Amino acid sequence: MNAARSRSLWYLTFGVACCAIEFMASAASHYDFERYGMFFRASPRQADMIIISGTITRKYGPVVKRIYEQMAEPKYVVAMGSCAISGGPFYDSYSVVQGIDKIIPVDVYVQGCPPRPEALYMGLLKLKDVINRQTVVVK
Amino acid sequence: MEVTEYKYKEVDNKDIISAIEKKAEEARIKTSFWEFRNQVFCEIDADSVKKFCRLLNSDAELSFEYLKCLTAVDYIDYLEMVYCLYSFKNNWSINIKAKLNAMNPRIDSVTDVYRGADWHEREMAEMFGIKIKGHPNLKPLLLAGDEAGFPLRKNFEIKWEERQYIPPEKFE
Amino acid sequence: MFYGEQEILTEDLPKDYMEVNFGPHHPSTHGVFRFIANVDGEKIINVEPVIGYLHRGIEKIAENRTYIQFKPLVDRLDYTGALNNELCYCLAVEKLMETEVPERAQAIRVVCAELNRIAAHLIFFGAMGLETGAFTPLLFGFLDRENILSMLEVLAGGRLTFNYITFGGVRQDIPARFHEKFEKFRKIFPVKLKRFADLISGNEIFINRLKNVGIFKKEDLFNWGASGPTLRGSGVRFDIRKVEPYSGYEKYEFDVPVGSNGDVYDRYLVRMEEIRQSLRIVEQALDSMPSGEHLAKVPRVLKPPEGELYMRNEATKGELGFYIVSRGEKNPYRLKIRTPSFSHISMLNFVLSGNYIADAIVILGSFDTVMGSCDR
Repeated sequence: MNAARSRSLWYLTFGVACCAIEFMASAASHYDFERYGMFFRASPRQADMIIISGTITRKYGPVVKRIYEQMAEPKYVVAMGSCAISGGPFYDSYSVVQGIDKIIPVDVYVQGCPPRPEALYMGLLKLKDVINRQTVVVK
Repeated sequence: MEVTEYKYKEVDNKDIISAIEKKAEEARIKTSFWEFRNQVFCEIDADSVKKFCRLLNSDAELSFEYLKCLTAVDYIDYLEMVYCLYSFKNNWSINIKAKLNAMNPRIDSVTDVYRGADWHEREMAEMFGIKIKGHPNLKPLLLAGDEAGFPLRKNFEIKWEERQYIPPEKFE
Repeated sequence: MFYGEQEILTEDLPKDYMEVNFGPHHPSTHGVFRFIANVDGEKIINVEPVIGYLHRGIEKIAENRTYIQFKPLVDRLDYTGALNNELCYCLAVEKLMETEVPERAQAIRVVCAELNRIAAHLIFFGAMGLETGAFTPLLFGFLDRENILSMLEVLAGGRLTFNYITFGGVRQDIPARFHEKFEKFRKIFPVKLKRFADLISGNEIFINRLKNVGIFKKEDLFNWGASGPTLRGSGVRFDIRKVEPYSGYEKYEFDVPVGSNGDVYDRYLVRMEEIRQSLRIVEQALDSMPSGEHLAKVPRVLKPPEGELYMRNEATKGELGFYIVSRGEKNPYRLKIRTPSFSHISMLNFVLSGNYIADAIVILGSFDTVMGSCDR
């Protein structure tokens, strides 16, 4: 079952800032996401994966939390770019959240400012490893 | 619509200064001019900013119809509002400065003269705490709403520290 | 009126305006922007834009960084065309310090800036297709952008954010591989542009969606502070590269395209024509590249003399301006960034009232705003 989940991850279109342009470039024709089975869905209820690309500010934090809660399980989060990992070049600003993992739990971190499409692919392949290693735990 | 052309024109700062000084004297506004790096600066009182801007905008010869930039600077004893204006017809630029009181900064809004000043003034009001009289809609624009103080003033220090995320209360 | 149809007088029915929220997360390439529209059926009565979801406080950060430490952050303002932002900042600081930039560096700066302008307009082209519901222009735009980004990667070292233009010149000289890549690009790209023109600009559905929608008048635009292609689409042939030339633009021959109607289609065509003119400038700059140094001697720790000035530039979306106040220290005392997207979005209520919702999306797309630039 993990094989089915990891081969068809539908991601939510969630472009926030500069990393979003690089994300769109890696989803476009030259580096294509669709050959990995990833297709964009606009609504959070229909998506498995969210790629946070860009700086999250204090005003936008509740929106991200609400969108994350609207997604159905199983859901995966990829933090793309140094702004989503730890605040990035704006770490000492009064209005920047220092990393998206202060708001929602993150599965994979992809570094770069912005990360190259190849780096994003590496991150997504690691996400597939994470999914393939998941087991169902009977509590 | 017909096409209006604007080509390169040589600019002599002395023409700008002499033309504006004459008109300002007729309207009895005190001005003092100086030049820095080939740009014209003009200092006037905070009370006559709106009158001066209206004069520069509506006058046919000067025709400073375009507000390039509206900003404020915090020198700790006083605040200063800066208006950068541009005239398409003559290719003239001018930067106008007006000093405001640091404890209680108040100024008239120039939104009737330049409608584009609307959001610039809203931003200055929330960042510096300047009370702008006559502005149609002075709600916070960029900030989350619960900063303690005015962010761009010098007494609002930011330093690096590991902060927890506390969501703003005013977000609906 | 068909036979047998009764006319229902809607003035008797009680009605109220519906408040529709186009939330900060919506599937469009414009970023995190929210507007609350009061809608009567399909017609918009008034619009209240809410911004600030990407406000990073760059102006406050500038007071804690030295001039050279702040330069990478300037890239992230208008991230589609980052080299133009760097150019404006470097021009402002060089004017404060009164340094001379060597001619070769000026020509390289022009090449970078114009290539980045083409790349940014290709994103606009993709986004415009997406506004009207077509997915192919987005893929076309990003595909051709890859060619330009690979050239810029050889020259400047990055794909989206560069940190290449510095005070006194550029950081490295043009390598030989850039010329090889540009020769190939120069032959292929005009063919691609013709394909865009035939497939999309001449498409009947596209034209019907965009013509006579969102007409702006000249006097209003001056008053609101609009600039760039938004202004040029309404018949004002004003380009800062011609009127206040910087970095050697007076040496190159190029036309400034202007629209005649002031509608969305004209603004789209202005940007498409600007791509051709930018390619012309790059060819002229590379063919007539003077020899010399690529970086002037600038002190390691920059301490500009005391003073203030406002420097502006024709960035990809309009007029980008920096107002720098310096007190002779290592850090700027106050740095104000005037971005074109901020002024354009402030016009939104004035522009969208009375339009249908579908037209409103297209008009917003024609402004070509980037929220990183609007919120800073």
